[in-house]
Amino acid sequence: MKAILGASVLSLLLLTVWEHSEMVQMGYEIEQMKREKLHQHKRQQALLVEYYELVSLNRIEQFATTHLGLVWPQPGQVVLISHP
Amino acid sequence: MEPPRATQRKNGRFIFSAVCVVLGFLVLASRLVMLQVVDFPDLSREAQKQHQTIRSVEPGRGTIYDRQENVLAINSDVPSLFGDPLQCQNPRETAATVASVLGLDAAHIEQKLRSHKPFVWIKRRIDGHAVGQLTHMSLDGIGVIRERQRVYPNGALLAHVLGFAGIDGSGLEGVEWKYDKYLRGKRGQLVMDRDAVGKPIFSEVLADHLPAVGHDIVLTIDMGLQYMTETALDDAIQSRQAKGGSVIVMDPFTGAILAMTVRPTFDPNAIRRYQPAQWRNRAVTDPYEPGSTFKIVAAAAALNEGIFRPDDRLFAEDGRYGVAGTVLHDEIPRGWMTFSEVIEHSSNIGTVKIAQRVGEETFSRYLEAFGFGMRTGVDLDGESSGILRSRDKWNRRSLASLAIGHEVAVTPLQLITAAAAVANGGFLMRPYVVAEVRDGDGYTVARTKPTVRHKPISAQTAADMTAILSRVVSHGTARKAALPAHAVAGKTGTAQKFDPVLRRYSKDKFVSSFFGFFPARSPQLIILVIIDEPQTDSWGGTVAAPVFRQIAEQAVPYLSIFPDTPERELVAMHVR
Repeated sequence: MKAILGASVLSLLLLTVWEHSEMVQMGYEIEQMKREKLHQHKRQQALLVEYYELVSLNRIEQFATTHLGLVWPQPGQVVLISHP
Repeated sequence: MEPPRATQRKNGRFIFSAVCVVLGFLVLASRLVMLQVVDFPDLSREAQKQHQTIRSVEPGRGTIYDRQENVLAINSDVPSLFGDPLQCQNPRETAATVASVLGLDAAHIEQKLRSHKPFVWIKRRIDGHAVGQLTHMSLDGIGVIRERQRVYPNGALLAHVLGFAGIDGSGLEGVEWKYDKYLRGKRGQLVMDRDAVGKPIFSEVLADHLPAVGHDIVLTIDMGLQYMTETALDDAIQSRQAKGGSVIVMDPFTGAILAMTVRPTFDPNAIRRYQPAQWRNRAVTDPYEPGSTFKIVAAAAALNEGIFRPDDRLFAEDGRYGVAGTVLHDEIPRGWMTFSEVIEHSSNIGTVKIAQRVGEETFSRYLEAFGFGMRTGVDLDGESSGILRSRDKWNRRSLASLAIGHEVAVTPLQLITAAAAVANGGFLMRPYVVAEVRDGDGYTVARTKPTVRHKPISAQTAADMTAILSRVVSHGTARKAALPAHAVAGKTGTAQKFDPVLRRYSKDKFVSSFFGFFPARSPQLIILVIIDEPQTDSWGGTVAAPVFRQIAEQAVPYLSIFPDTPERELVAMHVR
């Protein structure tokens, strides 16, 4: 009986220690994930900035006129079509 | 059996031991009470300090979009290079290496690295490529940290409207300043539990210090249209060797500003390279003498008061007319003209005669009704109210001078707002650049509704003025503003600049301007072009009107603007 009681108390103690250790481990993982999330968010912002710099109208016009040889349409070359 | 003496000695030892133990426990208990009760608050705080850290959570500044949700201002983390002189083993060699990568002065860097400070900035905001190179070299006493920075992906585009935010993230100019309370968000606090080596275990935001990201702002500006106005103005300034200029594009029915360009300009990503004078949004802050574009006020007042009808005739004195001791001239001398022809050919004498028939008191009332001498109420910083003297301070020449746009200074924004009242059927609108404010979840917090400030003229007067201004473009001084398929109504202006040193009007410094709206009877856009001190020509009709046409020609297909049709005119009438 005494042995069973002792084993139960010991098990409870071990369980508490294990639970605490798991909790701390999870805390580390959560913090690591938070840092990763922040890093990815910053990376996303940086990519957004790069994207908007790449699609800036100045750059597109320069590319269109110098690389593709495009020109602005002259008056009369544009036909507007009304749609219902 | 033990002798009584031995028993007594044993009892004495036992009592002594027991007393010692009890005393020991008493000491321990009192120490425990000291630690757990008396010193508890201090010790508890010390313990928390070792295991918990409170950190400030910086809120993200809101994003600024154009009306088509294109990003105009956004946050990004950028790398900055710092030095730790105490850790730097060979300042000369390190400085030379860093200088070669960043293109800086090696001696200046070496000087910094030889200081006795633990931290010095080498260069803030460096590009990613340089960071890669320097990190690969792993130099002693050199490190990279990331700083949050406001980025304007389109560079100088719309710089004067956007303004800029400082290094601490607060708005300093333009919309960034005016709407700072929405954009900046709220700083929060985070409690972080750390282990014995300082590694974070848990972190939690404090409930009473929740951070809030800044609100996003959606402008009325159309980035495509803005780009068109900027390129057209740059072309004109370059070809005319002008000092500067500005262009405003507005929806005449709502007062929403669709584009606003000012030259000289600046890049908000690198504000330190520019003088503060270049940051100023001159379209809002700087008044100028409008010259002939101002003639619409006298004409509209005369029509609205029923003093003239468009086909009434008046004599233009063959080009010379004496007013209060001075002689007025017309560029092309004319005799009898209709009221419409006076505006069509921008006759100074004809306009002065119209104003004289209107009278000082009535004319003064219309100046105020069109919003001159007072701020438009635009949601931009530093707006000027212009210069308009009250009627009791007018002299004998003032009525004549004011009628042709002298003795008065208006901002470009005031002028286009007044002209829009002619285009939209007589309503003086409050101009605005911010359409909407949204919170971090995308919900609308505030939305700007078009506001009518005043109704200076009737719809009939506006329609008559539109017909007259259409003839200015089709037969008068602004033929270079005409579009092939769309009827345009507008007015040119050429004003001599006042020289404050000589205290007289300059003979070689002009402001050339033109405002026009199209399609004339159901306008979708009104555009004001101002070119400051053009060198190769000075007339509004030849300098500013072609800029209007260049913008309008590109705007027609871009915004699918159809010419006037009876159906569209009917819709426009209903809107009016």
